[in-house]
Amino acid sequence: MYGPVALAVLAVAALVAAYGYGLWEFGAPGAGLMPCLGAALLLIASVFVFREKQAAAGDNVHVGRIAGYGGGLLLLPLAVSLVGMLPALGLFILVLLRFAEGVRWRSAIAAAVISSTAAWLLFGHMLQVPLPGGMVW
Amino acid sequence: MDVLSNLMMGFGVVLTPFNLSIALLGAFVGTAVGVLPGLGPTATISLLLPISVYLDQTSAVILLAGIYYGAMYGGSITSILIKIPGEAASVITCIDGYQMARRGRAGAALGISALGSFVAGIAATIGIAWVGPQVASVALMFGPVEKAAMLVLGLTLILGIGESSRARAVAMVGLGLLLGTAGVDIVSGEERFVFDIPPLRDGFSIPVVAMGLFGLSEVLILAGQKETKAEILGYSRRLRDLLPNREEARRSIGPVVRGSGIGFLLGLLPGGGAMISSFVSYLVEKKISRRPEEFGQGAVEGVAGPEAANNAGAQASFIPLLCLGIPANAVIGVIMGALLMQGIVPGPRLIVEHPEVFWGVIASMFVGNLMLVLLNIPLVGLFVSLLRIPQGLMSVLIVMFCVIGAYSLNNSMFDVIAMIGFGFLGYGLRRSGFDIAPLLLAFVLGPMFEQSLRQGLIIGYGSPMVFLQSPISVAFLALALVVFAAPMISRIFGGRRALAALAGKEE
Repeated sequence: MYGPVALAVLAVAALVAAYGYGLWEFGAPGAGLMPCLGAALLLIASVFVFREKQAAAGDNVHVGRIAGYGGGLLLLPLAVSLVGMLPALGLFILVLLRFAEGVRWRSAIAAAVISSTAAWLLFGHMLQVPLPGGMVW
Repeated sequence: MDVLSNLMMGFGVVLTPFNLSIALLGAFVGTAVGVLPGLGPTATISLLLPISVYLDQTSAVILLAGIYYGAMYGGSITSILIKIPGEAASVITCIDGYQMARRGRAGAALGISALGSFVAGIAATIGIAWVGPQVASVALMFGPVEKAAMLVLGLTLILGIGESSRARAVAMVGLGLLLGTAGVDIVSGEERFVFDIPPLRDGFSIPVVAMGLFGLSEVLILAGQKETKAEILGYSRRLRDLLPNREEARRSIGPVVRGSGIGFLLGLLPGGGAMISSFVSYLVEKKISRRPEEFGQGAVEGVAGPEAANNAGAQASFIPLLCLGIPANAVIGVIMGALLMQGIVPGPRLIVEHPEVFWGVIASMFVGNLMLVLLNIPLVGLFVSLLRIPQGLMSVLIVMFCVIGAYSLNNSMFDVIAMIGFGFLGYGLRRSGFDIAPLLLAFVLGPMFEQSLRQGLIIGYGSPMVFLQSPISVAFLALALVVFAAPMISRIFGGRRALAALAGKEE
C-alpha cells in the first residue's frame, strides 16, 4: 500500500523537476525528456499497482534483527568518520553478532578481529585502497 | 575456419597461468555461491565488481562469467541434497533430484547434474562462438535510430524478468530510467537531480546501485528471516557412486541434448536465461516422457534436462550482451557494469575493437566448464560443508565487503552512503512486492537509450517519425509492441475462452 504511493509521489516530484530542465529546446530534445519519460512510466504504473490486490507481506519477520541491521547501517558512516573504516566495521560486526545474532562474546570478538584484519590485508595492503581513518584512529 | 582461428586466439588469452587461476577462482566462488541459499550470483558479482577493477578487462569478465555459470552447477547440489535451491535456476531440480537422493541415488543425481551441465555448457559455448559473430555483424549496421528501437525492445523484454506483476515491472523500469538520469546531462551540461551534492554530478555508478539493491537488501531480508537448519541427505563420496549407472546414463542423453537446445534458444532472448530454460525443459521432458508418472518421484530426466538447460541458458545469455549490448538478466546487467567500468562498451563493436575480450571469454567458458565438472564431483563434500556457515556471519561479512567495495570505487564515502540508501530502497521495494531486477537493467540501459533516442530525434529534425522510416527500427518497435501486449491479449482471449467454456457448461 505504502510502496506504490511513495513511488507515485516520487514520480510527481520528478515530473515537476523534469519539466524545469526543459523537455524540448532549440528544436532538439532537452535534458528533461528522459527524466520525464521515466517519471511518467513510474507514475502510471504506480497507479495500476495501487489498484492491484495487495499480497499480505509475511508477518514472520524478525523485527529486532532488522532494526539492529538497519540501525547499524545508518550509524556506520558516522562511526567511520569517528573511528575510521576498519575499526567501525569491526565494531559493526562485533555488535551485530553479539546482540542481533546472539553469538558468544569470544566468538564475536574473534570474527570481528579476523574479518577486519582480512579486509585490511586484501583492500588496504594488496589492493592499496586508502581506507579512511577517523578522528580517533 | 574464421571461428576456429578466433577461438584459438581466445585460448591463447585464457591459457595463461593467471587467467587459468582466475577462471578456477570464478568457478570455485560461483559453485560456493550456488550452494549457499540466499546469496545469489547477482549479489556476489555485485560485491566483486570493485575487485574486478583491479584486473585487466578479459580477466575481469572471465572471473565474473565463471561465477555466473559456476552458480548454476552449485545450485543443484543443495537442490538435490536438502531440497533448498541455492539459486533460482535450480528450483526445478529440487523436485526429482531430492527424490532421487531419498531413494539412495544422491550421488548419481549429483553426477548427472554435473555431467549434464558440462555437456550443455560446451554445446552452448560452441553455439555462442558460431552465432555471436553473425549477430554482431548484423548489429553493426545499426545507427542511433535502430539502436534506440532495439533498446525499446530490450526494455520491453525485461518486463518479463522476475516474479512481480507487469505493472510492478513497468514501475521498476520507470524508476531505473529515472535513476539513470541523475548527474550532468552530457548533451546540454545541465545538472539533473544533483541537489548541490558534487559527487552526484557523475551520477550513481552501476556497482553502487547493484551492491545496494542486491547485496545489502539481501542482508536485510535475511535478517528478517528466521534461520532454519536443513537436514542434509546422506550420499556416497566415492567417484564410482557419483557416476550414473548405464540405465540412468541412457535415459539422460535425450534430456541433456534437448535441454541444451532449449536453454540456448531461451538464453538468447533478453528476459530469458537460466531459470526459464530449466522450467521449460522440465515441462517438455514430462510432456514427451513415456513415464510421466515418474516425474516428481525421482525421474532421471527431471534432473538431466533442467540442469542442462539452466547452464546452456546462462551461457547463451552472454550473446545479447556481447553482441547487442543488451543484458538479458540482472546478473548479465551487473557483468555489463563491469565491462563499462573497464572502459569497454558491450555491443556489436566489441568483437571488432576488443576481439581478445570476446574470444577470451568464450574460450574461458570451455575451460571453466571443464574445471567445474572436475571441481564438482570430487569436492561436493566441501561445498556442502559451506552450509554450516552461520547466516549471521555471512550477513555481516557481506556488509563489510559492500562497504569497503563501494568506498574503493572512488575512495569516496558518498558511494558508501548511496549504497546504503540503495540497500534500504531495495529492501523496501522487495518487501512491497517489487522485483528489483528490471530496475537495475533499466538503470544500466537507460543512459544508452537516452543517448540513442536523442541522437535519433536530432537526425529526424525533432520528428519521432524517424523511428518509423527505418525497416529495422519498425521491426524492433513492432516486436516490442507484441511483447508488451502479448500478456494482455492472451488474458483477454483466455478470459473469453473461459467464459465460452462456462457458457457451454451452463447450456
